[in-house]
Amino acid sequence: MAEALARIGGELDNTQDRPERREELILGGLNDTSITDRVCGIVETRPTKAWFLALLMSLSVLGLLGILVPYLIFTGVGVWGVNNPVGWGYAIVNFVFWVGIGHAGTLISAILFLFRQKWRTSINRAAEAMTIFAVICAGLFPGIHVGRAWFAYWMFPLPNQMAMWPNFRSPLLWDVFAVGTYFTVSLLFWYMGMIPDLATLRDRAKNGIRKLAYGALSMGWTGSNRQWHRYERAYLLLAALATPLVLSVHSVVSFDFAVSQVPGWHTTIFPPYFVAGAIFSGFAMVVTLLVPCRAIFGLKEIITLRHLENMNKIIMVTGLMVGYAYAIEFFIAWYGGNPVEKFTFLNRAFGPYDWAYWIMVSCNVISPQIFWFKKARTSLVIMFIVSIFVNIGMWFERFVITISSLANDFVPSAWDYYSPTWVDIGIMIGAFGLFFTLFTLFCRFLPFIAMAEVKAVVADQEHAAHAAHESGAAHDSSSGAEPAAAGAAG
Amino acid sequence: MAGSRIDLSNENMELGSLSRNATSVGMILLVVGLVATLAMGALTGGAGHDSLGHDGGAHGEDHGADHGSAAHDDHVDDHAGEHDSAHAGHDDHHHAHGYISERSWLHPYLISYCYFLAITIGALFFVIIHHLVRAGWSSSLRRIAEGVSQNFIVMAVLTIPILLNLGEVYQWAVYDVGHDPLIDVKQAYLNEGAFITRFVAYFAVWIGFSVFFHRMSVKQDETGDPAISRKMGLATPVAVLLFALSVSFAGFDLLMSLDAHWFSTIFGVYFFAGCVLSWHAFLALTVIWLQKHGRLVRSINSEHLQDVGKMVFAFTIFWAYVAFSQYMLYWYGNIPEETGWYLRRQTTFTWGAWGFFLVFGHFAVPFLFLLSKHVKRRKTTLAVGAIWMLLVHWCDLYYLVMPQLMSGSEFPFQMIDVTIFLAMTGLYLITTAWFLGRAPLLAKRDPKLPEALAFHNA
Amino acid sequence: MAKEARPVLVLGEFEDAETLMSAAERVRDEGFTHWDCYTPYPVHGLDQKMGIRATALPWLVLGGGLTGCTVGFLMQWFMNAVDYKFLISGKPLWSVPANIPVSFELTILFSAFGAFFGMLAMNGLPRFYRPHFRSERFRRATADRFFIGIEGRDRAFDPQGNQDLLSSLGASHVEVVEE
Repeated sequence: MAEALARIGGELDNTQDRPERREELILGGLNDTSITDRVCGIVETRPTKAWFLALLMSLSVLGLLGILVPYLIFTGVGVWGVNNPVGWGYAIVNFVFWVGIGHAGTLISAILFLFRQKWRTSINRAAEAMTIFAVICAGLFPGIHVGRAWFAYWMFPLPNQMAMWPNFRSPLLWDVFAVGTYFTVSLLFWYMGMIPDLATLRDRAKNGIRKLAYGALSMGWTGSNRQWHRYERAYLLLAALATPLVLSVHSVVSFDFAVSQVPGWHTTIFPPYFVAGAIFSGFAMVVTLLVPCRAIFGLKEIITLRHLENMNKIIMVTGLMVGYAYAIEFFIAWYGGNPVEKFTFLNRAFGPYDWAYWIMVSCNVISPQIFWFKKARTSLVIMFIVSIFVNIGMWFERFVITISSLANDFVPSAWDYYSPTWVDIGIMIGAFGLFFTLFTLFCRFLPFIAMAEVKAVVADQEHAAHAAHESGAAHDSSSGAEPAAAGAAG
Repeated sequence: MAGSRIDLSNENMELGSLSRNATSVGMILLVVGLVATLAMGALTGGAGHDSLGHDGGAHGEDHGADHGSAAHDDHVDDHAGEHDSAHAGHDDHHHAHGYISERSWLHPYLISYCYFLAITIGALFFVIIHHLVRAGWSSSLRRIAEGVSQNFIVMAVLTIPILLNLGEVYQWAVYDVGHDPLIDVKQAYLNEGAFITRFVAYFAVWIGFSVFFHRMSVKQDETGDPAISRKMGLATPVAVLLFALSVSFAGFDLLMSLDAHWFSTIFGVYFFAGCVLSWHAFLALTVIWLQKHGRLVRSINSEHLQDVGKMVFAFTIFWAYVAFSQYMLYWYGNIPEETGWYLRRQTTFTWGAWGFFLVFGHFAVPFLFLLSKHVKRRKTTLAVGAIWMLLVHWCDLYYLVMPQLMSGSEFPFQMIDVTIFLAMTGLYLITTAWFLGRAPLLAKRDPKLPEALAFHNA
Repeated sequence: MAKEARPVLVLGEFEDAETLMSAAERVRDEGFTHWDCYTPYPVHGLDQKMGIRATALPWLVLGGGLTGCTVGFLMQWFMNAVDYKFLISGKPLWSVPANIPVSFELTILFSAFGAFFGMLAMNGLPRFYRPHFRSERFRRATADRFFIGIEGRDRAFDPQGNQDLLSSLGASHVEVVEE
C-alpha cells in the first residue's frame, strides 16, 4: 500500500517499527522499468565531473603505491620500520585490516540471504564489489612482505626445482588457502549475481563495444525460467558455502596470531572475536561508501534510510561483540594467573602504546554506542562520522594487537619501541588509493544495484500490499483467532 | 502464496490433557531416578562401593556420607599423586591440580543440572533473538520457548544443592589459602560468597527476562495490541547484552572452574553453543510431540520444522567451530598450563575414544545427516536427529566434567550418572508441562503470526 | 539467411507476472515440452506452474565438497608426511588438527566450483547466439517484460497456432522469430 511517508532530514522515512506490518524497502513507487532506467543510467550516461575528480584523486593516491612498492622490492624490507623485536609491522596490520573490511560483502550476500533479509538486495552488489577490492588490497601485503617478492610462488604447493613442499603446519600457509579461496568464491558469487544484470546492460547497449563487453560478460543469459531455477539453486548453495567460509577466513587470520605463544595473542576467543571485528569494520566501510554513493547516483529510494539503519544496528551489535571480547580477554588475563599475560594487557592500556589502545577503545566500543538512539541511526551525518571512526578504530585494533604484544613480550631486555617509516605510511595510504580506484571504476562500468533481486523484492512488496488491501478490514481490527496469511516484504 | 488463508478457528492450542501424560511420565522418571539414586548412594556410601570395579576404599568413603566437608582433601591429593604421572613434577605439593579428583554425587548432578540449564537458556535466547531481529517465521513457535524458559525458576531451586556443596566438586572452594598460587590469584573471583552472589545475579537476569517476555506475550493474547510487541522489542538490546555476559560467566563458573588452573577465553561461547543447540533439538521434539497429539497442527508446518532443523544443523557446525578453535589453539601452543585439561582427556583410552566419538557423533555424522532438506522437513527423521543431538549433548557435558576424576585409566562411569539424570529429566518434564499448560501454546494474536503462517522456505 | 527464412521460435509478450503465470500453466497443460518463460527476475511459483523438476545441482556440489576434502587431506599428508618430511615445532609429520583449515578451505572451494560451473553447464552457458536475440522486443525480457517462447524443435510447434494460443492467453504482442 503506497502511503505517504514522513520525511527525516529530506529523506523518506521508512524506519517505523510497526509489528503488524513490514515497511516497504523500495520507495518512490519504483517499478521494473524505472529501476532498470535508474540503475542502468549510472552506467549509460556520461560520467560526471565529480566522478572524474574522484577517479583522479584515487589514481593519484594509487600512484603512491605504484612508486613505493617497486622502491620496496628493489631496496628490501629494510625500508620499513620492522626490526627486532617487532618483525610484523604495518604490513600485517594492513593485511588484517583489509581482509576484515572484505567480510561485509559476503556477510550481506550470503548470511543475510540465508536469514531471508530482503533489505540486503539493495546493497549487496556494492558491498560484494567492496569485498573483492578489499581482498585485493589485503593480498598485496603478504606478497610484498615476503621480501623477495619474485619467490612469492613458494607459498603455493607447486613442484619446484628444490623438491620442497610448503609446510602445512604453518598458519601462514593456511592464510594462503583461506584468502585464496575466499577471493575466488567471493568473485564467483559476485559475478554470478551480476550475470542477469549484465544481460540487462547488454540488451540496452547502443554501441558496439558495450554490446560486445556486456554480451561476453553475460554469457548469453536469456532469463528463461529454467535458467533462473538452476541459478537460484546455485545462488542458495553458494550462500550456504560462503557462510562458513566467511567465518573461517578471519578465524584463520586470527590463527596467525593465536597459535603462537606470544602473550596477548595466544587466546582461544581470537577466532570468533576476529570474525565479529571483521564484520564490524566491513559494515562501517559499506556505510562510508554508500552514504555518498546513494546521493551521487540518485539511489535514495532504493538504498533507503531503513537499509542504512539496519546496517548501523549491525555495526552496534558487532561493536558490542568486539567489546565483549576485549572484556573477556582482560578478565582471563587476570584469571589465568600468568603474570606475563597480565602484564601484556595492562601494558596495552597503560604502556607505551596506550594512545593507540585508547583510540581503539574510543572508536570501536564507545563511538557506536550512539546508535542506541534512533535519531543517530537515521542521521546521515552521524552514521558517516561513526563509520569513519570505526574504520580508524579497527585499524588501530590490529595495530595494538600486533605491535604492543611484540614490542613488549617476555624479556624486558629485548623490548623496543616500534615506529613506522614514511614508506610504511605511504604504502598504507596507497592501498586506499587502490581500493578507491577500483571502486570508482566499478561504479561506472558495472551495475551498482542487483536489479533483478530488487525487482523481485518490489514484486513481493506489491503482493503484500495487495493482500493487505484485500484483508484490510480484518487486519486492522485484529480478528484474533483467524489471522489472514499475508505475504510480507522485508 | 500470499493471500492464502490458514484457518485457525479449530486449532487446538491448549496443552490440556497432554499435560497429564507428560506429568505421569515425568513422575515415573523422577521416582525411579530418585529411588535408584538413593539406593546407589546407600550402596556406595555404605561399604566401599566396588561393584563397578573402582579403585578403592579410601576413595569410596566419601560417597553419600560426608558431603560438603573439607575432610577429603587428603584423599584428593593421595589419589592424584598415585595416578597422575603427567603431573609428576607437582607431587610434592598439596593442591597442585586445581581440581577435585574425588568422585562425588555432585558430579553427575552438575552434569544433569547444566544439561537442563542449557535448554532453558537456549529457550530464552530464542525468545530474545526473535524480538531483536523482528523475526516473523518463528512467531508460531515462540510461545513454546516462552513456556520452557519459565523453567529458570526451577533451575534456580536446583542450584541450591550445588551452592551448598561447592567443595564436593570445586577445588577452589575447599583449598587452603596460600597453598596454591594459581588459585590464590583468582581468590577474589573464585570464592563461595562471590560465586553465590553471581548466581543470584544470573538468575535475577534470566528469571526477570523470561517472566517479562512470557507475561507480555500472554497479555497480548487478550488485547492483540501491537504496542506490546514493540515494547518487547525495545527491551531486547539490553536483554541480549546481559544475556551474553551472564551465560558466559555461568559457563566459566559451572564448568571451567571445575579445574581452577585452567582457562579459555572461548569457553563461554562453547557453553552458549551447547545451549542453543540442545534447545533447538528440544524444540523440534516438543513440536513433533505436540502435533502427534493434535496440538498446533495448522500453525506449525514443515516449513517451520525445516527452519528449526536448520538451526540444529547450524549450531552443530558452530559447536564444532568453537570446539576446534579451542582445541587447535591449545594443541598448537602446547603450553602445559593449557594442555593439562586436554591431556587428561587424551592420555587414557576411554577418554580418547570419547573425544573421537564427540568429533564424529557430535559433528560429522549429524552434519551429514541434517544436510538434506528432506531430513529436516520429515518429522520422523528430524526427531531422530533431535534425539541424537540431545544424547550427544549429554556426552559433551560428561566430557567436560568427568575426566578429572583420575581413577587411573578406568572409565569413571557409574549408574548414578544415569539415575540422577533420569530424575532430573522427570522433574523437567513435569515443570515444563506445567509451564506450557498455563497459557495457550500459540501466541495467537501476535501481529506477526500471519507472516509465520504464510511463510515458505524459498 | 534471407534464402531460408525458417521460423524457429514463437514469442509472446506479457505485461505482468500474473498473466504470465496463468498462461504458463495453460501452455504446460497443452503438452509443450520445448518452451520456456523469460522474466527479468525469478518469479516465485512459476516453477510449479511450468512443472520444472528439482535440479541435480546439490549433488554436484556435494561431490565437489567431498573431492575437495579428500584432496586437501591427501595433499597435506603426501607433501608433509611422505614426500618431504620436515620436523617443525615438535609437531608430528602428519598433524591432523593443523590440516583441518586447508582441507576445509578446499572443501568449500571445490563445492563452489561445483555450484558455479555446474549451474553454467546445466544452463548451457556461455552460449552467445540464441534466436531470441533476433527479436527487438525481447530485449526487454531482462528489464521489465515477461515472455513465453515456444521453440521450433517442439513437436507441437506451429507458428500460427502457437501465436493464437499465446494471444488468447493474454499476450500483449506475439511474433515469430526466423532463423
